[in-house]
Amino acid sequence: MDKIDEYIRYLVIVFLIFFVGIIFSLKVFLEELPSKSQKALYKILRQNIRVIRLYPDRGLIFDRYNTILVSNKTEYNLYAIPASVQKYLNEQSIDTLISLLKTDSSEIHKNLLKAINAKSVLYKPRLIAKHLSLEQASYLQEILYKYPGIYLTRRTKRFYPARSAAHALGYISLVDSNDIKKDNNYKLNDYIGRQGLEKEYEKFLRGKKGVARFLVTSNGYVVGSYLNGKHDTLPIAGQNLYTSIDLKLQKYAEYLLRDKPGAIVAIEPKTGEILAFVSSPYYDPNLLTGKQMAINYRKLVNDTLLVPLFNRAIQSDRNPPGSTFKLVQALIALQENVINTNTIFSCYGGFYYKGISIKCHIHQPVVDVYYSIQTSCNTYYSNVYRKLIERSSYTQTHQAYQKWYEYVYNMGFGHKLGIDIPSEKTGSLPDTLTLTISLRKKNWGFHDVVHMAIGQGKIGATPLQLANMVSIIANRGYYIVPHFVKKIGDSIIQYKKHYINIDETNFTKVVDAMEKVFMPGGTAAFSTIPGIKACGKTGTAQNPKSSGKEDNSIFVAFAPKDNPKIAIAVYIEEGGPGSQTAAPIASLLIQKYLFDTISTPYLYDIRLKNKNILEKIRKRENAKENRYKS
Amino acid sequence: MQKKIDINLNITLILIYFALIIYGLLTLYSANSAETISSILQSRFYKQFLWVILSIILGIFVIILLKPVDLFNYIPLLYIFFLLLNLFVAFWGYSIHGTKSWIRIAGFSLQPSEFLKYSTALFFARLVALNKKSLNNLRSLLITIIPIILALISVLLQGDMGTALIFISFIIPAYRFGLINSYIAFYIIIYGVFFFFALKFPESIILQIILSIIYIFSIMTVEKKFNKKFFLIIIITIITLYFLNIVAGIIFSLYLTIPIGLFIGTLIFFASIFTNTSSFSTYVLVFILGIFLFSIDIFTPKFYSKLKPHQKERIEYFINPQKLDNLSAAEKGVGYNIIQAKLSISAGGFTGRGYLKGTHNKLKYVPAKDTDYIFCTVAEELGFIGNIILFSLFILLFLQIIRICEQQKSMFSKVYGYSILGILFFHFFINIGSTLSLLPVIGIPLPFFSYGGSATISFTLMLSTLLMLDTYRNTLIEEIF
Repeated sequence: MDKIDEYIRYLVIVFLIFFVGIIFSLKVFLEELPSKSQKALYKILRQNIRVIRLYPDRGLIFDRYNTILVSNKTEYNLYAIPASVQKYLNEQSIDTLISLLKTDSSEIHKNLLKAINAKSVLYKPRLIAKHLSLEQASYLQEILYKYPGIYLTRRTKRFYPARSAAHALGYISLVDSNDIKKDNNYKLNDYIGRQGLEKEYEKFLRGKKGVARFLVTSNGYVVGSYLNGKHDTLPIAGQNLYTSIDLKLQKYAEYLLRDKPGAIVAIEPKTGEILAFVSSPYYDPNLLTGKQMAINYRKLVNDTLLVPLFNRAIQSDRNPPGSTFKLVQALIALQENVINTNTIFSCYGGFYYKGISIKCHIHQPVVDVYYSIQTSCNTYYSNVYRKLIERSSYTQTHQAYQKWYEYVYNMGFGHKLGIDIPSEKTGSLPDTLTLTISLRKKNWGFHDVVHMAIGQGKIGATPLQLANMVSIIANRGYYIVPHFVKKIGDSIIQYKKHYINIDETNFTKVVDAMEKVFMPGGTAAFSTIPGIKACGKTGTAQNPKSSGKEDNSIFVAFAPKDNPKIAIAVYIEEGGPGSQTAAPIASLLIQKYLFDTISTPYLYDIRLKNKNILEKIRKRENAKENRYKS
Repeated sequence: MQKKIDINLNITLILIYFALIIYGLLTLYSANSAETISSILQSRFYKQFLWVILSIILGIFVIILLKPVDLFNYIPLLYIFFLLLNLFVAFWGYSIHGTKSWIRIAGFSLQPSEFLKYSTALFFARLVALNKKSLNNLRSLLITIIPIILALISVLLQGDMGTALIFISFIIPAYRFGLINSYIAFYIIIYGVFFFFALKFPESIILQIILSIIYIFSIMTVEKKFNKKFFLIIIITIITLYFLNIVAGIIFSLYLTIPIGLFIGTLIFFASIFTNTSSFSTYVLVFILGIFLFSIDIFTPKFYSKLKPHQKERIEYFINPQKLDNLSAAEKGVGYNIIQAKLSISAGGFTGRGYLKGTHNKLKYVPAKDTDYIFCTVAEELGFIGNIILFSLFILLFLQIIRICEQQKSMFSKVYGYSILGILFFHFFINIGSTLSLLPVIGIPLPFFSYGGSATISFTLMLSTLLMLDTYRNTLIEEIF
């Protein structure tokens, strides 16, 4: 070998070393380009870090005496990460795991199979089982170390210890894709308020979720927290709601309505705070929680006959207010000076005008404003309404009607009052234009709207609006929007007063008249409350004769007359005349609230005890169905 | 003989060694920092630290106490001892990860094959030094090759493919000292490059054409005289090759360009060793080549089907990485490991995620995180910069070894130096190449980085012996060795 050859061989070896070094450097450089490295890092972190959402406790809800209405119960969800589970679980070994769960297994089996056979999204935890009890969870916790990649997270479900006020409280359910789209605070398997206070105060109740990140080995074992928990957050519990509901009164009201369809709204007039809020038929709010929720919800929705999910107190806006509306008519007429305390109309069993006849019941023929309210005289108010509206030409009639419309509107009819639960309905109160359209003629007159004089015809009001109306009278001229929530967390909510442009003297006159309703000769004399001056007004809204239904029974009242503490509206579907069903209920509830004892228990025994209207409706419907079938 | 350690000790090599060993220990510490262990005494870092201390002590002993003459005389004994030990291990050894290459002594697992590398390097150098005058004849060449082949077989019997490959590294000293035709080295390198591209793009016709051209030129290097007959035989061979390739492609759905290309290279390599002479022997050679081509076309699919499933997987995933998608974690097996290793390298980016701040290796998503795949930890935590530092240290080590070798007067020292250069370089090349998926996955440790007592001691002994020989470079006269 010569020197040159040796030198070449030396160079070749050096070249080889450099060549390999450069190839490696280039390859590493290409692998570690920023775009590629970002993607890789993201993929890596998704595998290495298990993100566990820490769910906050939802805010509690209390009644006015801080009795708990809604609380939380702890339950657990079971998750599995496919990538970890796939390493040691197969279709046979699932069964041993499931047998440890001691619960309904078909769904868990299905979910686990899905996780095992997954081909993509391998590092995202999958929900295997929901609603595991504390017992099941603590048992599982002990054996789960054998199953890396499977873990439990703590959740809470709603619990309603009072089993009451379902329609006011509402319920919560899992979010759907729309909710997630609307608000990025929500993730799959979160809960959201769907109805009632739960929905209205969702933002306060839900609290803030926390996050914990753990380092997980490839076998699925947790070895510690990521970056010592630097970026982890604790969940922040939701704020508590302090409502104005009086649980005792609420429960008593529900007891009275347990077999009658209808609604009760009781308000503290001075503050607008709702004391009791019942829509019947109602349901145990605990039905709409936990495992059985979907089944129960379907049952409730499928009950199309009695529609338990329908909130009659704020949604039944087609129901006419009946004679209770005469209070409004009297107030407007007095304010407009159409009548005064001396104005007298005579009644001989009815009002007859241009072929229209409105029947009246038997009472003394000479009627002034006090007596008209006490006996609920139809003729009197038909005349008053005619005087209010009818002018020589139709344009003036329309103007007069519009004026009257504004009064009624201001008293809370025909629009949403703004109660702090969703789904409130407006009620119906046509203005001039609407009437023109619906009557299909331009020059309509008094005879077209005469039924509104006595709260029938085109007017409809929710029980809430009636309760609000009576609390305006109790306050002698103002109202505060009825509401449930007094305090969120520690902050007290201020509500605005709405004034009515009717003089206090006129209110005094109507209040005096209402007091007489409970006196001998008054329509609710039977329901009188001993030891207190109460004011009320009966109402009877007719159902079509052909339907075979009895009239709707309505009663509004407040008490005590001076310094009123409770205003109440009771609306009983098919309850007969107002004095028969609604008035006794109102009377009992006022006693319950003011004295906590019932001094006239006979009211219940005679008028309410054997009157199972729900049963009656069901029987009637069944009979109808049977008739169709045969 | 006078010893002048203070003058001749190569400080640069020692510094590079310490840089590598410290870098290695730091990386090993990080790779194992998420393990749950009861005390540090049980950690792999601590064990490796002890091994390093032991290695350094042994290294110092070698440099100070060992004399070249004693070493030279005991080499055959050393080689035979380790060869027998390896054969013993191959049959009665202790098995870890499917390779039966371990013995357990007093709670420690030792891998004799690591020491076999060292002793084979010594033995090879001794044989070359003794036969240097007649290296060109076949007999002396065989004498030098046989110990390597014996060592290789003993390791193959253990089922350790990686270590077996290392014994091929003796090509480097063999080439350097004229055992192989010098031009052939170029072709081997070019073949290597095209072999890589051919594996990556097996269906490309252009690559087949390029391989054919290389084939023609390789043969022309062997036979410099050019005539028609010769050309005809070449053409016939190529046509046969293509025909067989197509047939095999249809029947076995396996493209043979790769094994054929590889085989041509190997044949030419051997042919060049034997032929320096007559044109007749060249024709015989080309004819033999054709026969070999024919037989390999038939045997490759059979050979392939006899591979273990995970070995097949490695080759398949290397050829066709897209296959890795659309598989669940359970099905991915080896491929899953390849993906995870790649991810952790990419995630490092330019500056890395920070020392001790990486997660992917620590949490065992990358297999063999502290042995074969320890490079991933460097890449993830120290990024491109850390990798370049690692490469630079190794390249500096190799260059420094070459420099020492070129300074030696003694043939024995020279050949020994190039032998350990080959061993270290092959470790580096195969380990990093596998990790970066430039090569199919072959399990082999990265010197000074991977966890393992035997390897650490063996590599340290290799370097310290070179250093020791270097201290005697002025006193070792060529004739003696």
